[in-house]
Amino acid sequence: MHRSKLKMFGKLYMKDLHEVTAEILVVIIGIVLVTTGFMLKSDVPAPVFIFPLLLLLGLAGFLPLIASFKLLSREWSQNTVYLIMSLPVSGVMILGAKMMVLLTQYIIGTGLIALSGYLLYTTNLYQYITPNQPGLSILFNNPELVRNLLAFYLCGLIFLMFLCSTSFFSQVTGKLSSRFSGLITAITFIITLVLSGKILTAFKISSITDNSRAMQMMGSADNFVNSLNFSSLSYLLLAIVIFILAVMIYDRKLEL
Amino acid sequence: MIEFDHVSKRFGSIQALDQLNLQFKPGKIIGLFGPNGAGKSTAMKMIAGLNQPDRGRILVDGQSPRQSRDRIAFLPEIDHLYGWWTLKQAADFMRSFYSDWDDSRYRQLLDFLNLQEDMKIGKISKGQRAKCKLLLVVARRAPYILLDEPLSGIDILTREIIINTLNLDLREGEQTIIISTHEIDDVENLVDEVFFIDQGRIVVSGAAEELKTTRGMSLVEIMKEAFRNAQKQA
Repeated sequence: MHRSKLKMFGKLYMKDLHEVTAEILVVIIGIVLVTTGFMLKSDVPAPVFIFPLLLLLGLAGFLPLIASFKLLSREWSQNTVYLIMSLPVSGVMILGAKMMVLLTQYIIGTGLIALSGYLLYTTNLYQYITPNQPGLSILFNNPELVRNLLAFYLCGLIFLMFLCSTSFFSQVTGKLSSRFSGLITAITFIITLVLSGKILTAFKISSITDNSRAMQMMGSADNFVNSLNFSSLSYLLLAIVIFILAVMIYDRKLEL
Repeated sequence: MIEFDHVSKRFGSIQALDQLNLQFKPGKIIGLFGPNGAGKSTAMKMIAGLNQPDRGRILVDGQSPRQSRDRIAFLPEIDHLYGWWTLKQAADFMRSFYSDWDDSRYRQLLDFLNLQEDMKIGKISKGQRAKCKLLLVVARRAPYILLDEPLSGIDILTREIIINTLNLDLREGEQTIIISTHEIDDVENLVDEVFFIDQGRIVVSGAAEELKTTRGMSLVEIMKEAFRNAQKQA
């Protein structure tokens, strides 16, 4: 009887998801605390609560990158790599499940923060900020801005994929050597980022992390979205290439 | 059949395997014996596809080990299961990946080894973990079962249970079981064929009973003699 690849992927995904539960919970607890705090203390100025929410947003975006190192390196430090590498599946499935978990972590974290913002807007925050400040009402009355933000969010997701691919690639490269593995990983990570930057610059592609330019372009929605699409596509291609390289090293070169 | 064809492997200054030639015939219980650092684990990991030869090649039924992973059940010496898993979660995981997983055998061995499915792997004793690892490997009807030091650090009673497990329901002619260990006396009566390995080379090999009869010695004594001779020649 043949085993379903989807089921195998599901098992790997659930196993890896368990490994990042703590990080996801940290973000969720933070969101709950901030949201509850605001709901209970509506006399506090809105920025006091918006600021921690923005901090949490940064945390939710950054934690998956940290987790990408943890997810893979833990397999070695806990010797579970013996189990994983013995499985009758290729590196695409092993690393693909980890990538999917990291994207899930990002989406859960940022999604909940967006939901929290919406809840605050529709309840206490709305009555507090709408009289004198435009606040979130701009967002809800401006579909173009919503489109821009969604495009920006998608870019963030793709940029995370790029960073996680780079993380996987640098880690499997580091594991090719039994000595100075951590150092090789760090150097490979930096070199890959620098090289990727140079490749994108060579093709005159603007970085999606260039916030100042992004903000300038906010006024012109089409330009902004097109630029993001182009940049996203470039980063997506790079992420795929680096991911394939990581898989090739995992499948063909990695030894225990 | 598993074949090693002039396989060499070096880790830094250590020659783990040196032009190793051997064949593991199907349907046998094979002992791969030798002292610590002899190259047993390297050979086992190579069959499991976790290590690759610097030179030479290994074939499992004519295919590379990495292509044969679904036909190999490997029990490494170290603890390789997730500590947060319960035995049930571990079994569910294995069941999803291997079509040769045998649920009835799993249930039978669960009782025989006196294990409970809700045991958390990270919280149980070393002996129980060894039994869990063995259970997850032997519950598969894999053509090749590789056991790397399955008795290492295990108390006498648990050893006896593990050996009895291996004796239980072994399907003669179907499964090949390769046991790598330096604790020969425990598995002396279990193995059909033996390979004594030292410094990455086979020093003595043959059918276990034949070796014992012709030399009039136990396998432990044969190994001691073989390694003394190998050291003299070196």
